[in-house]
Amino acid sequence: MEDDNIIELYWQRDESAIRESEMKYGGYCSSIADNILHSVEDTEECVSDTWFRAWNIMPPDRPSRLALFFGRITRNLAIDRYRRGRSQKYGGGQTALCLEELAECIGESSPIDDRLALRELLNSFLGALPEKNRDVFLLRYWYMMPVKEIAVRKALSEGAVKMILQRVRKKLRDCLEKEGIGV
Amino acid sequence: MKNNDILLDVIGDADEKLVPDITEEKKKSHLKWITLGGVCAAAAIGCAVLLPKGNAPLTPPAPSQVTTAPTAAQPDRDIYCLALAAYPDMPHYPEDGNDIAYKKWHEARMKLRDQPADYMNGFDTFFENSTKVFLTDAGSDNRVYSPLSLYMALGMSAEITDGTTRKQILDLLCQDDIQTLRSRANSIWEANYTDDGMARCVLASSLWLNDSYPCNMDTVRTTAKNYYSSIYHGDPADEFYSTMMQNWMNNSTDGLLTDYISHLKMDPQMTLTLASTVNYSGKWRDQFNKEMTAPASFHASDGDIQCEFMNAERLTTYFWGSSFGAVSLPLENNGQMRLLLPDEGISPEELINDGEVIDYLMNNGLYSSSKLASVSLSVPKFDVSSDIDLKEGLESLGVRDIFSSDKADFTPLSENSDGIALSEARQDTRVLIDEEGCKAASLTAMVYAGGAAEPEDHIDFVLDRPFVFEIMSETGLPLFVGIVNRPVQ
Repeated sequence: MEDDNIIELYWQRDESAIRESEMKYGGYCSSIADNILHSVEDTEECVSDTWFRAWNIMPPDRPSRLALFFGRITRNLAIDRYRRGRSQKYGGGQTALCLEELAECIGESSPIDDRLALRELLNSFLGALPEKNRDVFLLRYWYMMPVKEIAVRKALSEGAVKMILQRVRKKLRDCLEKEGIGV
Repeated sequence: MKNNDILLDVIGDADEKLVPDITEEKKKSHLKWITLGGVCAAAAIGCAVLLPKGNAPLTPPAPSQVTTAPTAAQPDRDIYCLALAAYPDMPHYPEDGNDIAYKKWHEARMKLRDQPADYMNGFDTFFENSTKVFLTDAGSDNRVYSPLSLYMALGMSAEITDGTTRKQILDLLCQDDIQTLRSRANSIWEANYTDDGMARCVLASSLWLNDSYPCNMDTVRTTAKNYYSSIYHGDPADEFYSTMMQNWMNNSTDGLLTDYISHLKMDPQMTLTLASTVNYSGKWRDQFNKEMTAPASFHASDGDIQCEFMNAERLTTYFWGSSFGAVSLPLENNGQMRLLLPDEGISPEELINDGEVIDYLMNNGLYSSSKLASVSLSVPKFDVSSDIDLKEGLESLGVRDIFSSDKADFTPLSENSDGIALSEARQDTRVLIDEEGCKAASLTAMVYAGGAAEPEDHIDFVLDRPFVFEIMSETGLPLFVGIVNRPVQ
């Protein structure tokens, strides 16, 4: 079913919207949740919660990219679950590794109080990156995809992916430092 | 909450236009494969001839002297192929989206790409130094240079030399010893090898021996093995041997350099001729709409030329420096072509000698001054070639002894190597880009007065005056770099 039709089902409060979403994007959302949690049971719950969260948002929302809309909800739900004191349980997931890597980009000397400004800066930073590097960075830290899987998707060696990530992180750190964020 | 946690959250909130859509990635790739129309083809040939002392260098004969290639094999000739280069397996890229075939193709590709992390060490300095030398003095002509082809030819030359002669080559290639160079050259070869029916990047080499001159076959075989090279031997006075070499060169460059090759004839006195080629072709990942192509003037230094300009609107990364602006055109699974337009008043040669530009040319995408912008792109179709005599340039880069029959040390090649010298070293390169169809589009000249101020969100990138291009491999290695002074020769 086309995305517009699925959205229309949500708007018409037709419960088949959830079935159609599950059919089309279940696997996609599961892979995101699994990257973060590395747990079959919790992944299933997260994905299931995704459709109900979407049910509560549409209407009034009418997303322009439905996959990303679902993916973002799943990501947020999974990270919430990860943070609810259960991070040890999900040791095999990518979240701890991603957090560790991102710690290279940002200091802890001053707390971030303006998330909107950080978002704006980050969008501008990402927008200026070459497409390949941006994709690699977001596959890692948006989708929290393992390096190996990124390498397969982008037809790169694992070493090349790690090298790109390291360079982009350094560039981001310089950018944040220049703006005094986290310093 | 820690700052890295907040950063993770904010990344999740990134502009959705920037987040890659992983649900459609593979499907899109297959669709593009079917509909692509643009072609970028390039070839370079490096040719080195070793002569004993006292012989005149190889001179191309007049066109009337050129022998026509025979149409059938001539078994009565005493010409042998001692070793034929065996290239790695490379399955065809699956056009039909077959998952099993795709996996097989991908695995083969990954196997070749899996090289030591430092395999490109030294190449950047070699690229910078040699590019500055070989892209100067073009005047109003085009100039194209393949650093990779020269790197391979020099690597092979290092194998057959020793002492100071070898040291000078190693210094230019920024390698500590022959083992390191051998290993890195081999990695560069493998990491950049592509021949899957959709894209091609093949570095081919061959060694042509004189059968009356005894060579150390261990050295020859080691060289051939490490550089995926074929070995032939025969009588260089035999025209068929020359023709065979021409045929090998034509095959290895897909016929792109036929005019040049047809004028080459083997020197009867040569000890060894070494040929190194790069054969590259790829398809634009985002093809130009053929209906947008239109004729327009290209402002060459010696007058305007009418050219066909390919036009497109792209949301792409725009790069800029204090004296140039640049965009990149990705090729399907085969790297990218990068186009650099000097600011008004700056020549392409000045650009090549600018450290900031070299930094950009060597840097695969992490150049600092860049932004995502809407770009009105206007690129002339071009077909440019040049023939560079490498001798003077190599000497200025410190590779001197190899050209001197008194100083050159070719002992690894033969016990009786006194008086041998490199008599001729040339590189002929041709690069062309094109697409089909045409329709008028308005063109706007881009004017950037000096300074490296951040550009607007919409940029007119019109290559209607001499510019610089680079073809960079998928692994980030500069394959070709050139100056286009006249898009059509």
